[in-house]
Amino acid sequence: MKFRLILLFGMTLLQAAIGDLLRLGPWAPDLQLLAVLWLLSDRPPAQAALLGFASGLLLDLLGVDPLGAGALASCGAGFFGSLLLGQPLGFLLRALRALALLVPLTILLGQLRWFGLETDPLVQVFAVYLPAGLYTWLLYLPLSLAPLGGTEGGAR
Amino acid sequence: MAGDRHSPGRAWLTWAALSLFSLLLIAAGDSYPALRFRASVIQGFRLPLRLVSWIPQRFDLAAENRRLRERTIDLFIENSRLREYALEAIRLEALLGMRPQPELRRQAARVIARGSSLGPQSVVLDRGDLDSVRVGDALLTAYGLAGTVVQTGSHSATAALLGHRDFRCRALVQRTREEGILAGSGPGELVLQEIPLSSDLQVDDVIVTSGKGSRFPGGVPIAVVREVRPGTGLFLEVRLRPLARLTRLEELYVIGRREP
Repeated sequence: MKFRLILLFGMTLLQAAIGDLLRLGPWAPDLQLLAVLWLLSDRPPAQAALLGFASGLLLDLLGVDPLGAGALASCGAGFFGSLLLGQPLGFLLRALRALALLVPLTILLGQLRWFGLETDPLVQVFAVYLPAGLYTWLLYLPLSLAPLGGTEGGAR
Repeated sequence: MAGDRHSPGRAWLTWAALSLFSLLLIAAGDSYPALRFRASVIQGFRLPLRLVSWIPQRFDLAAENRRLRERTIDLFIENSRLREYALEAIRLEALLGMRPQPELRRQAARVIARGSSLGPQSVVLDRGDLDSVRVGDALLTAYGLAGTVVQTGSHSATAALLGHRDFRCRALVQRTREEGILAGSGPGELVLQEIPLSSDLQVDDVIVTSGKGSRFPGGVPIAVVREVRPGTGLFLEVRLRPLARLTRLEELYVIGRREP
């Protein structure tokens, strides 16, 4: 578990410091959400939610985004990630469930961080948040195959 | 599985409580204690952030050096021309008995963290209160204005970049001298408000800081006009493209007015 915690908070710091390095035009992956789904989905839901919340809050504190936005999305990613991905699944089913989680969470996060802008929110959703969610998901796919060891069985 | 400790009811309750707490934090907004707490967290993570932020600097160094060399030559030519104008302006100001422009304070700083994955909104700098960085100071790159400092710790500061929803400043159209309010409108997006329908504003016009108020020095390039169209009221709808490369900020200057 120690290794996972180091990786989780390490990826949160990476997101804060060099997240833009992977940017393609207006789309950048969210390494912190990715880390929560990847590292915490086989933990019990309450623990995953708590650790997701903590890493999201850390990312919020390291920027000027509304405090609590990242914490809310990461807490949801940890909790629902554990519920949906916590049991042994085939690659395709795992990928589809991760997609169903990452895209809405990225959109939610975008709306929380950018609420109140003059730009049409729908345009933002389709031009920025949706592709950014897909980008994060594409990075999740190879990671989801990596063995981490020490599972506690997630939502089971 | 540890039985009751991992019961579904308890898990849902934990998630609901944490989500509620997050919503309360969002609703509370950026109060002064929250800002101070943020500053102290950034201060605490300054060293690891500085270490991690070293990585992209190695990637980008050669390309950045080439760009900066070209830029230096452009600026050298422009500087020679402007020095002549500056001397002329000083002579004219003296003749007219005008008050001299206030002196500026500047501090080189390095970006050690970036705020959001969804767009360049904020950066954390490795300079703070003790390095004479103040809230409201301008962030300047070789290409133009990049943002403004919104909170400071003793050796770190957080800055909102152009495009951040809280970013506002008075700005001038360099060619026509019309004044408007520049506001953030999304990741790397800016709008210029209060430009009348009768204006002769054109695509590619340069927008500079007005120098009015106490925050930014005047005449600093900010953006170029990307799109102009009639708005719904008496004003034009003007969209801008920032001149500073907001997704690749590494080193920059923090500029502020010198305290009397």
